[in-house]
Amino acid sequence: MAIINQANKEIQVKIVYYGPAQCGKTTNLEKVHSDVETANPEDKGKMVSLATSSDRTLFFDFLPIEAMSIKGYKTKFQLYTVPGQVIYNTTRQLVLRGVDGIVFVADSQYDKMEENVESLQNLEDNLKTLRMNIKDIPYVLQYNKRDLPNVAPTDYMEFLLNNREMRVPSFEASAFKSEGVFETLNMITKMLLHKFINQGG
Amino acid sequence: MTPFPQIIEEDYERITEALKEFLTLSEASNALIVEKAGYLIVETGENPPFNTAELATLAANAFNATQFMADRLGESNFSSMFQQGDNSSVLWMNVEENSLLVVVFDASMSIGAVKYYAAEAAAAVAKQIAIAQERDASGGIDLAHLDPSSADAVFKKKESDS
Repeated sequence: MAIINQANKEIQVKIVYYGPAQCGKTTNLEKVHSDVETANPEDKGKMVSLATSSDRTLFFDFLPIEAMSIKGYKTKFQLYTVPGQVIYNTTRQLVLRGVDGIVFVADSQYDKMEENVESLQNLEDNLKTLRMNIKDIPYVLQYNKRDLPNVAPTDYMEFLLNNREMRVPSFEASAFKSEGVFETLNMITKMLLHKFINQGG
Repeated sequence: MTPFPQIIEEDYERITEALKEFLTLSEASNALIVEKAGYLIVETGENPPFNTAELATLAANAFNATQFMADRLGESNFSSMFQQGDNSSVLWMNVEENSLLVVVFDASMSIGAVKYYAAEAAAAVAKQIAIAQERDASGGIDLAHLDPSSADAVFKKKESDS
């Protein structure tokens, strides 16, 4: 749950990028880190990556980033990724603790559809383990790697991943080229801030 | 799980006071209160030679990992953990359901004394958080005055250099 610190006039919010192995979660954070415009250099923290020797996420990536103040409250966002590899499920549960919003990054390549569906199911299962329900948590979908040749049509991906009663916003992206990265982040940010404002924190 | 309460000035001051007292007694260099999702709540100590927000996140996730270990071993939880380095050591201590105390101290110091005073500080902080929890349940902050339209396009992409 977001932290509201009235003493420091701060709202701290946790967003987790979730998805199958090598779908581009870490690349999303890297692009946010390298391409975000900040008024002050200190608004953007250092990106921390706990990765294996072969550059696969072992524990998580973490990027603290400060946005503008909203009526005197500093808004601080903590962006995390989870390790996508199936064996690291306990680690994914751990990183989901206290999550406020989720970006589900799906790999658009045809042969990755099964992994996408399994990962989304795994997200739901892990949230249940933490006594949370995906229906209660703002999340968006990102169909990544649209620049590759063998991608599935977005309608098909919508059918597979976004066919619930309540459809969520989805974005096409090529995180590698920094396309769709900010659109996705801004949508989840907007959904979260609206939620806090409407619920009074 | 009860969420971590909203902190007001009074809580912040009381928690800071407890941590400062702890630092004086224990001679540790830095003490942080960290929410277990990775948020830094309060920090005390002189000029930390590290990024405290970063340390808070790493500390919270490392501590949470040990709770999974406790579960696998049939323990309800591990209340503290300790790492000793060549120059600095770190002690993690559970405060209450949602937060922990992270202490950085000189590696030459005895862990026993630090742990003893840390337990007292953790109890004082837990007491204040319980007070905040009660207050939170009965009221909470009103964010209705915030303007939702200002939440559009919070993050902007830099113009390409090329």
